[in-house]
Amino acid sequence: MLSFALVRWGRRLARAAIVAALSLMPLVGFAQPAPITISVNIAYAGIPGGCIWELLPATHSYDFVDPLARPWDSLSVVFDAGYEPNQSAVTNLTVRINGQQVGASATVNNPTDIFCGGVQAYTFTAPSMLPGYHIGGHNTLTISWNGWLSYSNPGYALLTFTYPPIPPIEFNITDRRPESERRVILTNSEPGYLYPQFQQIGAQDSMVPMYVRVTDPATGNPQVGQTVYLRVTDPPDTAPYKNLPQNVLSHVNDNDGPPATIGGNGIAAAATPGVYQGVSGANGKLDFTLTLDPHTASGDNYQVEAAFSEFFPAGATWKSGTLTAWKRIFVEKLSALRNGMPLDQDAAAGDVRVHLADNHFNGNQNNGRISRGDRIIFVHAPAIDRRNALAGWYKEEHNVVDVERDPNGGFVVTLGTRNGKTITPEPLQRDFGRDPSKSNEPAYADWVARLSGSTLGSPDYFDADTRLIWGTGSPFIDAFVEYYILPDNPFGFVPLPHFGGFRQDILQTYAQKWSFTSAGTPNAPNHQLLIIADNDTSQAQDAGVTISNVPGETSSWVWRGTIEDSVKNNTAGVADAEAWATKTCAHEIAHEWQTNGAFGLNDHCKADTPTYNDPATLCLLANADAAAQAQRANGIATFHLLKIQPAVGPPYYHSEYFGIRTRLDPFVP
Amino acid sequence: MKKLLFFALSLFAAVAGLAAPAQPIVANLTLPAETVLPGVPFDMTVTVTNNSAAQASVGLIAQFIFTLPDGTAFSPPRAYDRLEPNPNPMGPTWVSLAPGESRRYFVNWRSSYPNIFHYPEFSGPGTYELKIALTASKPGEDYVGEITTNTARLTRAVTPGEDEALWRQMSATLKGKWSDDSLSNSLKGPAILREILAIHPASAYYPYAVLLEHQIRPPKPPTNDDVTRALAAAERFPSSPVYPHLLLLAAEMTEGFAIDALYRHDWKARAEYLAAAERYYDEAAHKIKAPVLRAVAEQERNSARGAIERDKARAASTKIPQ
Repeated sequence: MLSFALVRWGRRLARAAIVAALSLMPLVGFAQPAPITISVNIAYAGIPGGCIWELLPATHSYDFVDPLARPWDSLSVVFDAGYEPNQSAVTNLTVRINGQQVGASATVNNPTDIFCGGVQAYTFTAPSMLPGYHIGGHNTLTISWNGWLSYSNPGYALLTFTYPPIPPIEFNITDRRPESERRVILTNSEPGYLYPQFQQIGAQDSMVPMYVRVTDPATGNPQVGQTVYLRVTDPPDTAPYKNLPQNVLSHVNDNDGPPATIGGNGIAAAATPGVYQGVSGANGKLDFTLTLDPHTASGDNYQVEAAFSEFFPAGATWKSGTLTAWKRIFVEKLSALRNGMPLDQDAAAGDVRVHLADNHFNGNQNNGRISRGDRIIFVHAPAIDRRNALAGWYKEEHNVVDVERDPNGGFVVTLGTRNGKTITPEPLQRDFGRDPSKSNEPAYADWVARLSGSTLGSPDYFDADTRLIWGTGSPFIDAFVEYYILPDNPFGFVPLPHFGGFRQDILQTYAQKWSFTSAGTPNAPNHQLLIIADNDTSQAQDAGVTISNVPGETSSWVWRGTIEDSVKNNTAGVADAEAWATKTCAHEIAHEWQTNGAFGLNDHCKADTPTYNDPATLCLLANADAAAQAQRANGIATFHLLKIQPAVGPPYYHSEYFGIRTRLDPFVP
Repeated sequence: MKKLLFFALSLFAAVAGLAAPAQPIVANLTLPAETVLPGVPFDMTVTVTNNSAAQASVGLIAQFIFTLPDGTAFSPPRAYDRLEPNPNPMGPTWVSLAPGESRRYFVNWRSSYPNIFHYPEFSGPGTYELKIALTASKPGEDYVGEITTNTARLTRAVTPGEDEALWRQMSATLKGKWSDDSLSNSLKGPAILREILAIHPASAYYPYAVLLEHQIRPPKPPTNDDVTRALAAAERFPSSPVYPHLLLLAAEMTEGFAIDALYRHDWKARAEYLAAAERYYDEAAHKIKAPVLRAVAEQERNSARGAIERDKARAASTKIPQ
């Protein structure tokens, strides 16, 4: 984008001022901090002097520090500007803080002279706390516009903050803090991943250290030795499917799990059940910990209410911000090679020959046979029973110099390169071969595959976008589940062999062999396994499968190869393989939660089941039929909300969201 | 009049024969053991024969079609299985047969369970009929289409006393939903399996427990004692349907020790285990009557022999022939 500036002679005295009026404004008897104004230098590119005429669209950013480390009520930003004579009015003069727009954009229709004479003040006001604003921290003021803007250099933007009254009891956690900071992770199974802001202070599952500060309403001074009563309340559920305009299911006290409790040093049960009490200490502070029950459902939410009486009189209680329980799941994603065949004999480091039962690569090589000049890769994983686990996962790339048929069956492949009559052997650096746990099962052996280039690259293995699991549009976020895709194996990226099929026992065992986290087993709670592979040998054109025949274990498979094949041959009427695979990732991971057993359709709901918010869109887990198939690549991953009338008893609502939320944490298959 | 009727019947039979031409490929299902205990897997062998004068291919993806004792049909739609042997798992799902050629395949359940054994419908006592539909994925031009085997009869019976009590326990444990893989592939089955190993050594379920213990998750590395126990169980239960599998299991575990020795570069141990594995496979090849499993033993014996020869070559020369 073309951007340039003109700097003309002329100095104008900068209007630099820091206005900090200290007026006490009592409100219903509470102390209130005075408004504070700070100035932010908006000098052009750090070069002071003159009056700037700048043509853009332009954007300039300036850092400033929050002045009081308290939530504010409103913020105004004022600075002088005009437009360059002989040009036209400047449009879209916009102010943002940390990317959030402050007030409405303005049109600048006052021309200036070359000395910035004629500038006028423009005011932008945020009537409430901006999302993402860093209280007490560094923030970024951004000014942008279209046209020739004229402003003094250096000039100053004046930021004026007004503050709400300080209540007698004030919580450190308020609803002014971002929702993401007020989450309570039930179980965090990967220590390298931090808890949300407040929970990280104690860094313990299901527990959040909090405090209240007691203030003298008349003076604003901290009150020490004041008895404070606390109790946990349950505000209405915030999930969109429980707050439909025509069907509001949320209400106070609608949590699925048991009540949370309050504890800590000096915290004791009061006479009234469910009420706790403590005495404010230094600086009027009373520390306590909110603890969620192990049977808490994700999405259950809480506020801590405080009062000076254990009877919590109306109008004399104060509440914390809302804290919400979240599950946290880690996905180990594995990618399979696009062709290959297993070794049927063992080869030790130093060997230059390997033995194969067959010579067809299959997969994207179709009937291609291994032959001289091929660039190939060997991949290895530890034994199923992990007897050789220490060596880990590894891969090696080689050239094929010769392939000959073994008179006793199979083929012998010699590794190396040929130059004329000179052969340069390429000994294996590591050991490769069959799996000692199940030597008779070819799927579990180390495999060899043909590379498309000189080294392993993305065209050689299957992959799929996982954003519908963890990102915008994920149905799991609406079920209050954070998803993280784990980085590669600590041994480095080693793709899986080109293997797929329909025998679930083999698929699950194979998945466990190649998994480095034991995801999908009781040994790795809150870990799920996602494998992007190919099911080329199946006549069933499923796009994926999640293992359900192996009690206590599971894994989700996305048949990217089958999807691509189907798109290529137009067998399913879906044209976008990437979008189809992306949605299939979310579909299969949804199956891990096993929410739809009641329908008897392999964990699907009926084929014509709509999403909770759009009758024309089918549920992510709708059983496959032509209509569902047509929506496989629409990028929408949303669940249903059905009112079920049982033969006996009252009606109830069924949703995958509820099944996910109420499943016991940590998740184990 | 009688002659006329005979003529009419003969003509009808001839026309009927013309209307249903012989299939180019015939698939024959046999059950090596036609009577098995309730609640355990069983062997199935499929022989495909090209009776035509041209090359023809037949699918190797099996779908199982049961007739239950009450006469109802049962065929779970997602319980496919790939017949074995199948050395290249992602290779073609069909086999092309020359005119007159015949090949034997089997349903392998020794190292992993086919999906079909996860269904409880045909696990209890009674007489069942079974046939298998064979299909293929992306078959060649000479593919004959889906064909179905003959119907085989499977009887599930348990002798009164200890075995009957065990079956009742098994069935009750899973509330009547016991399937053939439940001894090792269910949440409560492994406890019964271990109970059988501990206090029911005379039960006909005992050799199954010895075999299937190795499929309990999570897997644990076997020991020499496991080999000894498999061979001892085979010796004590020579007429059990799992007899050949116990012999093969002992050999496979020993071969696994040899593979593991390679990863440890313990060439002495590897040589000893390979020699033992070859011996066990050879004994199995001589003792197993079922042709298809005998062929497995022979092939694995030859494979072990080949590994021994390659190891000797490796040891004899650091310079590998180019």
